[in-house]
Formats: sequence, C-alpha cells, structure tokens
Amino acid sequence: MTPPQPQAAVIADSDFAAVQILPPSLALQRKVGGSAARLITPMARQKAAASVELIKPEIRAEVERLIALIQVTARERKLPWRDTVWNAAHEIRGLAGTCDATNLGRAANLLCLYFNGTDSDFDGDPNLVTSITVLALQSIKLGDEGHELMPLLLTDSLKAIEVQCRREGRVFVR
Amino acid sequence: MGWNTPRFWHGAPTFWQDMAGLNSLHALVVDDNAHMRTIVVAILRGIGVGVIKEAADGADALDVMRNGIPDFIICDLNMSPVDGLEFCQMVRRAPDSPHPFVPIIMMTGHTERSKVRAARDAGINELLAKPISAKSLLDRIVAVIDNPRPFVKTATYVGPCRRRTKGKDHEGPWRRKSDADRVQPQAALQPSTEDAA
Repeated sequence: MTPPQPQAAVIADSDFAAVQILPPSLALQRKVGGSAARLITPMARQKAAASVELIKPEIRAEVERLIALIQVTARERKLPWRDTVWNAAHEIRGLAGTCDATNLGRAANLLCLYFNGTDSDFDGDPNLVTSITVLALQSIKLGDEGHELMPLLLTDSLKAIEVQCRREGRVFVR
Repeated sequence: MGWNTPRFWHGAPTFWQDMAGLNSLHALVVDDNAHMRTIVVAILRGIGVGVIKEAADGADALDVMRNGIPDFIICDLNMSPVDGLEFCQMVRRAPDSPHPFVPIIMMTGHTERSKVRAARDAGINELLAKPISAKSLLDRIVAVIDNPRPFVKTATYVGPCRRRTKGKDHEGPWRRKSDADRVQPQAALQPSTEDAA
C-alpha cells in the first residue's frame, strides 16, 4: 500500500474570489493637508523631544519605585512573586531607555530573561534577583555612561542567569 | 467688529492652515502603564496633535473608539485583560468594529521574531520597539500618514498588506511557490537571445 502523498498547497480560484484588496487610503494626508514629513518639521521634533525631557524626572522616580518593588518582592518571596517581578522588570525595560538609563534597561531585561517561559507559581532564585537588582541600582547611580565595569557586570549577570536556568533544568533563550 | 475687518482677514488663513495641520488629528493611546502613556502623550502634544485620548487596555479602548473614531491608534502589546494583539484583531475583524481600517502603531518591549510576526499577523501598521523616543514614534506616524499600504481582507487576515518590499526577481502578480504551476512566465518558454547565441 502506498503511503499517502503530501498534498501541495492548492489555492482554489474561489479563495482568490474571497480576497479583497482595497487601495491605500489617503484620507489622513487629505485631513492634515499634505505630507506628514513636511508638517513634522525638525523644530516640531525638537519640541516633542523637549516635552519628553520635562517628564524624565517623573519617569525616573517611577523606575526607582519599581526597582524597590522588585527588591522587596524577592526578599519576601511570597508566591506568586514571579509575576510581580517580571511585570516590574518589563515596565522598567520599557521606561528606562526613555529616561537615558540604557544600562538599567539591560539589567531589567536580564530579569525578564530569567523568568521568561516560567509559570506564575515559579519559585525562582531570590539571590540572583537581588544581585541583578543591585546591578540595576548601580547603573542608575553611575548614569548611562557608567563605570567601565558595567558592561562586564551585565555580561557576567547574563552568564549567571544562563547557568541558573540550566541548574533548574530549563532551556535558556536569549 | 465686522466680518470684513482687517483682523478677520489676517486671522483667517492661519485658522484654516491650523485646521488642516496636525492639530486636526485625533489619536488614541492605549497602554496599561500610565507613565508610558504620559511619554507618548507628551510627544504627540509636542507636535501639536489636536485630540489625544487615552485607554488603559483593549476593552477600554474599544469603548473610547465608540465615542469618537481616532485617526490612528498607538497601542501597547502587553496589557491585561485584553492585550494589544486581541485588541488589534477586534478592531480589524469584529463585525461591530467602529473603524476596521484605522492605522495601528504597536509598541512593544518584546522584539522576538515570534512576537513581531504575531503583531504583523494581527493587522498592525507599524511596530515600535521600546524604549521609545520622540524620533522613533514620529517616524512611525509619518510612515502611517505618508506611506499608507493597500488594505487586505481574507478569510484568515484583515489588515494592511504585509508585503512591504517587492522581490528582486519578481516580475508578475504571482509570488507563491505553488503559483509556479499556475503561471508560466513567457520568458521561461522562449529561449533568450544569449542562449541562442
């Protein structure tokens, strides 16, 4: 008996009949009265960047609050603490770059990498979380230029996470 | 003061120019993080977008849309209870959707290929990786307004055309591998002059 042959994808004409392609809408261009590239001038871009500068202290305060939350959560270790830490770290990596704290964003990304793919009831290694939180606080203290050791510390933390994931029998995905 | 006084005439062109500019736009910002919304709203205010509404998640955003259709939406991917992908699919596919064609710019901290592909297949127009800057957001807004793409509706996908580039070797409308049997390019049937030589 011959094994069933794999069927090639056949696209019936009826499938094409169900496809609708509408032309690009120029409604927004008409509404703003022309090209957006022309309307969003370099001066408007500067003004927008200046608006972000004004709210940077507020964002920085929020980031610091989130780091403190991670520290307390890792210390108390009340299940399910994984979600609290992951969500806080996720918010930090989104906000940090905007307030010129790229290294802080990288440190927060390390925490997300450690917890990625785990369930809500995952009881991770609080010492590792605390170490990375200290690194995050150092990165804020030193600023974005930071210390020359900062890239090395980030790389070593990444290795530490990889090793810990292996110890826990998990596959580490960067 | 009458309608034909000099003040009216001086004011009129500016008024109409302003109405036709960016302040005629209506934006909706959807993110569960109030601080991220603050950043986006600050950038939009900076360029003079007229109406900016905010929503904390997808369900909230649909309610806001029913009260006034935005010209474009800037939306986060990771939200609860209705995340950005579900929200996008609801906007594009739901029979009662207020505006299935509205441009959607999706912000995300997840830049993994799988997430980007999921966002594209949900029907977004542009993807914006976090952390965002004024430049990156404004570039996406310019792209949405100046380079609109055809809108595709199929049984499995509703949204802007996902083909952004044209293949170098492509010469006709058929691009799928399975289309090779459907269409025989004329060039393949006739020997080229170089072969004949």
